[in-house]
Amino acid sequence: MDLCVFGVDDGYAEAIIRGLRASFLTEAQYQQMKNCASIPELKSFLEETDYQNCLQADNPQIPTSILRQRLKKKLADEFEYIEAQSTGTLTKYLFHLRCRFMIDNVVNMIEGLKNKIDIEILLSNIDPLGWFPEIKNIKVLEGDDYSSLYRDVLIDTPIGVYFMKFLEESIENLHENRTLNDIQNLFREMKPEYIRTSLKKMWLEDFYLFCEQELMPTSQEVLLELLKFEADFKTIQVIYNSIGNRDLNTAAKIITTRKQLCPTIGNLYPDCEKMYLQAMTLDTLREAVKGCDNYRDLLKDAPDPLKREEFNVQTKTLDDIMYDDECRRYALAFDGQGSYGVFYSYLKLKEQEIRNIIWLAEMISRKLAKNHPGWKKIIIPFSHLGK
Amino acid sequence: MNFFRSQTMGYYKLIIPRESAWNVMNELAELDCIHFVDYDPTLPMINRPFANYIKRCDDLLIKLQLIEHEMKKYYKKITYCKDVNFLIKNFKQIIKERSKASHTYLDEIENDIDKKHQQLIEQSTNMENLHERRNKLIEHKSVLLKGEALLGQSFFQPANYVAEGYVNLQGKELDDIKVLQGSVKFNYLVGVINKEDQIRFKRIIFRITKGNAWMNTMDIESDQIVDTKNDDAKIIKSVFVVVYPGGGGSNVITNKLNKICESFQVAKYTFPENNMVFQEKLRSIETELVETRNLLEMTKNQVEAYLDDFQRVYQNSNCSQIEELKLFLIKEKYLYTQLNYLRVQGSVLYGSIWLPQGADIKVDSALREVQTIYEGLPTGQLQISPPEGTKPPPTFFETNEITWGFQEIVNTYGIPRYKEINPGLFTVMTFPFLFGVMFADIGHGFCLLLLGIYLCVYNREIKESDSLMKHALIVRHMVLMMGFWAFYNGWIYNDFMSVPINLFGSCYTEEQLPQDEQDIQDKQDEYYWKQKQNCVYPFGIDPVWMCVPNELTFMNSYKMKLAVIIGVIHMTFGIILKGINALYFKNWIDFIFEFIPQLIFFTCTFGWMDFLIIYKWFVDWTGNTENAPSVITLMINMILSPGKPVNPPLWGDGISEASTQTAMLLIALFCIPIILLPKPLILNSQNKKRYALNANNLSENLNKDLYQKINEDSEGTQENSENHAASSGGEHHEEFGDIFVHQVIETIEFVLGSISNTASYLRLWALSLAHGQLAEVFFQMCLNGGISSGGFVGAIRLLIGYSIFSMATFGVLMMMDVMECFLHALRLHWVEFQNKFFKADGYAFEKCSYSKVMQDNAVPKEE
Repeated sequence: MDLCVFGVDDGYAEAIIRGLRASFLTEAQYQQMKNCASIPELKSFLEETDYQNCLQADNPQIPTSILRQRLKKKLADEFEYIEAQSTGTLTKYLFHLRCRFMIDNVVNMIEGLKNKIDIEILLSNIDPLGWFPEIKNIKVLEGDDYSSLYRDVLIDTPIGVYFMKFLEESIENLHENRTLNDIQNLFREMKPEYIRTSLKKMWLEDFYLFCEQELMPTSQEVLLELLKFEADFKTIQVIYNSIGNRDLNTAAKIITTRKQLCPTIGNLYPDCEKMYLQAMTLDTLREAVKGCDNYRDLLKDAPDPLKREEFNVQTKTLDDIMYDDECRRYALAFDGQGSYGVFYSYLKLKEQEIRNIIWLAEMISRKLAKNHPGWKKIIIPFSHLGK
Repeated sequence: MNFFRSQTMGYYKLIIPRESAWNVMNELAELDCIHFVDYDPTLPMINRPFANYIKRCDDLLIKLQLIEHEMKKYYKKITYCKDVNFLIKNFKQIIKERSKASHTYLDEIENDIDKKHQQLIEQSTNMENLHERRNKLIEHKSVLLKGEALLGQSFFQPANYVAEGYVNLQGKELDDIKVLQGSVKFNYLVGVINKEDQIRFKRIIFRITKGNAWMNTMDIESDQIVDTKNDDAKIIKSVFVVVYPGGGGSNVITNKLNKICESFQVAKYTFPENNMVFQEKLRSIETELVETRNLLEMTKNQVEAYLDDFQRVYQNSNCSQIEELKLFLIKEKYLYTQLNYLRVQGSVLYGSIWLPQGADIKVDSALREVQTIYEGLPTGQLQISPPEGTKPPPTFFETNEITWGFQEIVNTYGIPRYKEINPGLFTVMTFPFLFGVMFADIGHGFCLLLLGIYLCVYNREIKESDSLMKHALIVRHMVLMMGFWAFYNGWIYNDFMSVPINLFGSCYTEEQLPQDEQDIQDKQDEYYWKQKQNCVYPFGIDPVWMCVPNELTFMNSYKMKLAVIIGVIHMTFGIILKGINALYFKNWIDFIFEFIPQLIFFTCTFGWMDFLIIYKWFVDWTGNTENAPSVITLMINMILSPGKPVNPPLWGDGISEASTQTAMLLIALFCIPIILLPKPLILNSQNKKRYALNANNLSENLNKDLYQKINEDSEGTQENSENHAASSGGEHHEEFGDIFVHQVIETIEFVLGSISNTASYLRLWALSLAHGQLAEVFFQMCLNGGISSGGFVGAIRLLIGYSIFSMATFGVLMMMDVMECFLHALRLHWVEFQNKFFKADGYAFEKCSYSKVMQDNAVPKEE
């Protein structure tokens, strides 16, 4: 039924995004990019693709960071255009999508300020997709006083809700008769990466709930599937990264941290929760997730996290494996009809494309030999569909 | 015959020494007759030898665009180039007069533009800075004035001034603070903020100070502050004043507020502490403002002077300097793009080109001319060569203003194959005619005809004016012809906006029914129309048909029959063209096994139907109408019950008719297998033979190879291996199945198509019917009432009715219906006519031409 009326409100936005499908770089184009010998050559190549307009004003010897910024700006512009064309639920939905980038931006800002990086540099590096006016005001952050940051600035931003929940949870986790000092200590020890993961977990759960409650059945079907996978992906990542982590020295600490960071949605929760929380080696993790889907196959090729020091550029890390599988799912979701999954997939796939371009740009600027295995480390959107 | 079949093309090799590449290409591009073949279409443009030049031209064009943008900002009017050929000659002259190598003129222009662009940028940044300064001053001034208004005059009164530098506020409007007077010390913060940030700012201030602050804002007059970064748009800013309690110089709140101010990028100002300083400050700002204003004026004049340079039309030119530069760069870019199609080997460029017959002499002489113009430069060479690759020659028709539009209609569907009969030639005539059949109306046709005449007669005047009609000029001949045929066919149908014209006097007279019949008949039918003896209405339909109750039936049957007759003739013509094509290409299989059976099939079925229609018209059925056979029934019976005597017969007793029909049917059915079977069989056997021949050659070559190896003849081997490659590469072994399926499809398409296509031509009737009915509705609804009621009321009704009538006629009939008839005529040509013979798999000849590319860019872009 919802397929009949999908076009009434969202047909135009969907049509635009379907048109944007043509802007993805093709495998042949990636091949040509790999053949570029220098950054100016890469830039002039990109100028013949859809990225033409966003690069024209720049100097040929463009630094990778600015290149990334330009590419993201283009994506953000497209997204904003679609947002402007949307109404009702779709607008809310698209706004939810933006929140992920806002969280990233806020955490990046906090991290930067902690490391005493100049605010101008930080501001020039924020992801345009997650821009909101208050972001500049994060500057008032003093030391590790996250609660006053929340109270003064973040309270009426879109991600204020998550931040509040995060603060509440972290304070509640302290022992009963806590003092102000304890709280300050807590914040001092907290790593931005930890904040990021928890905020994103909350966002994901919230977004999941939103999809479940407000979207039409077809969109739900597609999106919940994707989000479940993403949640599982997060869970596996958290467990994987916490294996052999030096900061988490006791078993109890590992388990509580994991419990805080793992999303409470997805295929693995709650059935496998007990097992993966206890997993202390890669093998036990594999064992823990074997009940679900193809996760075991995914983890088959993952390098052992205990030998983290031996990793280098050539290693196909867990992230790479995950991205690869993700890309396949998103491409499939993109080609599905009449669901909001297409917007989500578009963002994800474009992000992957930008990652690819930046990776290649890095490879080119480092002048690595053409037979270097790093050249193969790009995942081309939609390349899975042909097979 | 250039328009009937495309021009004969010759394949040539062009060899140009690199040092004279520019000069040679420059001469050749002026000839407008060369089609350059890209030697490797897959190679991206950036990897080609002259990509650098193209890039430079692009950069310069962008710079010029910026300058043009600036000119628009200062309302400079640009004179656009009207005659690009004049400019091309002019450029040639300039280059000739220079002593240096010709292609370096680009460098010169590049330097020039770069310099001017640089200067302009400098001036604009200057300007921006000045604006910024002025904005600052205005802001400061407003801070002072508004601040005073917000804080109140009493702020300066010494009684409230506290020696430590903190202000104890007592304004009449600040009653809350008044209570605290004396007990708490206050800090104050004054500044300017963007209006859009104002609310967020207020909130954050509130939260940081936990509500312990008083804040007020006041807008600065909106037209004063100019945003230079955003095309001088106006931005609204407002002055704010925050008063908050505080102690020492560096307390927490002050720090936080400062940070917030920084993050909002607000400008903070210190507010003078007493009236004297205040007045002093105000005065100094005023003087500074006057200064900046003068400076701004000066800079502006300078910028305008620069822009005037670009605006000016120099001697020996017919457009503004900026346009001239732009066109020159476009020409230069085009030249290098064409050069990029050539292969570079060492210091020589090799290119392959297509030339229309006879153009090689022109090219040769142009090449020779290079040597005379630029002394000491080597020139290029033209060599005839066999075509390389499998691509056939391009299709090229010389069109003129009349044929261009019609050729475009054909090209939109597909470019004719090289040397194929060009449907464009016939479209010139048939297209307006078929349109006319559908749009048939004397009145409306005449309007269209008038438009066509107007466009043709005032062609030149309209071209030079700014009229919107300018865009219709290129199709003026088409409009003229369409109008004429609509007008003509209107006479045939005798239809003037749904009213027939009694021009020659009707052949019928109204007469009373004889008494005895009157009783049987209804009272209303007291009269009937009697035909005058031997009277034939001279032209078109007798107007009397409009007045009889069976008008619609009669007209429909008439128009339908006409439509089918026209359609069958049109399609038969298409089939004949196929035969002519087959003869021309010496394709005997197609001629004998496709063209002839198809033609016979078509004449035996629908040709026969046409014959029946026309025969029926020749028979006088007066008084015998119930015995007149229906053509449709005849046709149906011909197929469903062949051989049976026809009843009622069209002629004789029906037996001869039946036997003729049976014969026709048998012949037509016999044609179908002839179309279907022989062609694929013959093709297959030919393929097999060729394959066998190739295999033979191959084994022979192998034998030779061996022989040669024994003889140790190393020279021959290379040639031989090439031979191998050719024979193995040329094996285009098509499967018999493919050929057969293809033929099956073609046969089905033809046989079924001949039925559906004939039916398709009925749209000639249907659209004419729709047109006629619409016209009638408008006439009846709007005008008829007024005319028939008469008198004063009638006049008023007519007045209102006419305005509606004219609008509806213009909007619905003259605009929408013209469009509709146009589209249907288009379809009849593309589908029904052209599918009989047209292959449409050619590609267009793209002549390398300066004037074309420059003309395309010479018109101002519309915004």
